[in-house]
Amino acid sequence: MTNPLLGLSIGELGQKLRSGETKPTILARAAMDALDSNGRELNAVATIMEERGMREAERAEREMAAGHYRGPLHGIPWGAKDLLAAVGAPTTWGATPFRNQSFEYDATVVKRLEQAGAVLVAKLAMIELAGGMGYEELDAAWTGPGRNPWNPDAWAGGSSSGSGAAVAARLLPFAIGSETFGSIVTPASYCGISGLRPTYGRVSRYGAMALSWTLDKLGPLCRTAEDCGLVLNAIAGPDENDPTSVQRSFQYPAVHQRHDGFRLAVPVGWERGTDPEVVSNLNESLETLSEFATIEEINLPDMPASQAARIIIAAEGASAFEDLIVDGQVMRLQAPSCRVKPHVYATIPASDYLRATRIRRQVSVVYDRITSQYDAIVGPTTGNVAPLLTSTLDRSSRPTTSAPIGAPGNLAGLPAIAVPNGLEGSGMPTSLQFTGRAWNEPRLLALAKEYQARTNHHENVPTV
Amino acid sequence: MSTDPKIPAMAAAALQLYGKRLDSHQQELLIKTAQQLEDAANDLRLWELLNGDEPDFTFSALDGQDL
Repeated sequence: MTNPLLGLSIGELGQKLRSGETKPTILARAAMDALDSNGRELNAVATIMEERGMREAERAEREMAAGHYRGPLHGIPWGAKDLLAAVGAPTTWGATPFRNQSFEYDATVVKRLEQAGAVLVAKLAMIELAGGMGYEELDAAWTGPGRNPWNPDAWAGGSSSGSGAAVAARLLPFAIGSETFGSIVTPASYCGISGLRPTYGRVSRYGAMALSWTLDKLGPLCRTAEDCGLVLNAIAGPDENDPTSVQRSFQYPAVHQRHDGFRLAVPVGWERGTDPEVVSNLNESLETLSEFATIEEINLPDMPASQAARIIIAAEGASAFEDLIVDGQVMRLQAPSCRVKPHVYATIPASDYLRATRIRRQVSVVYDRITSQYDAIVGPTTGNVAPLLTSTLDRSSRPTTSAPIGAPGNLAGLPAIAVPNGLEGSGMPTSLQFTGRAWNEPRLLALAKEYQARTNHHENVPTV
Repeated sequence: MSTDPKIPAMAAAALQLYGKRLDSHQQELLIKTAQQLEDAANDLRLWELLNGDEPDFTFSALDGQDL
């Protein structure tokens, strides 16, 4: 049984910290103990950062005692996907060849959360190399298969497996994950939590493992949309160390954000390839959404977005890990499929890569036009609930990102937020995804927050 | 094996470079992976592009301040 305080949202914990009802050191201790027991059972933990965690918690405690309050994340424990450089722990990228790797600097995201007063207590497990080597096996990590708190025989999702599982199991109030192609929203969906994929360029990637320079994004996994906004507020913004980070204002809570007049679109045919109970729960969600939003059906254009994304990720991944492939260290990866596929990725012709990037531009233009007409495109985050760990991923159809907006959304760098929208028959969570126009996170967050104000799916707790 | 015309060009290149470290089962997966990538690339070739359709990235010359 974990400390009940860890089941509270960031806002609720902040109130208790400010009132003196609890202290940062108590929360950090509780989180590290919970991660050390339940977290390890779920294979959600790479490293518990005992020394740094307690040091940051003690500092927060001293500051609060002196009346210095840094903001809503002050004193809140959190976990970093193990692809973020952080002083005080190895950064293994989930992969055996990098088990002893460490960096003497903090990723920008880590630094910004420290400046916001958050307390880093752990590095969290992930699929090796963020899944970029084409894993088919669900145990593709040196930490073992990422287990789902709703059913330990089911998968937590990838590649931010530990981030999703730890937040869902109430071991941490929030975690940072990364997404190249589904790696935030998929674990958010399978684990029944809220996950925000920011616009590409919104959050600096400095100090994060590079898989695909033009697709990698960092974002929060939290209990609620509100919490996602609070965390994004701390980590967003330009960074001179990441030339792709963009000077765009983001403030949460937004000062002038409207919470009405939402315009939504649902892609025609979204039910295809989607499990019946996921369909049923999404239809129920659409009923709820219709109470405060207009909903139209739209035909999404038939563009080869998933094929372009596949070529780009494979080619950029092979370049990012060329040394690993050439020197044969790739053969030490956990998943048998990951020992093989990179050899082919390294031979993708430049002409194929460039064609994919030329088509990508067209996809971006078309989807900018589409998303400019709505606050969000709505659909299921994943077409299924978490598969059993005995399953394998079918790479020919990418079933874990069956939402039709998934490929163009990532390819065009669009933001998306996944929120839980119910349970299916066996008690596993299902999820609803809102995808919006680039830089429109404030509206997406307002929408998701309004949905969560009218439902209680985000309050469901795993009983395992 | 690498001269087999039924093997995708990417697989032939990969086998020539790295084939010695892969057993027969792995080589089969390698060929299947190459075929899937080839299928994806073929889908992309069906999409009409004009000479002026540029890639989705922007090069900019440095002014020396970043060096």
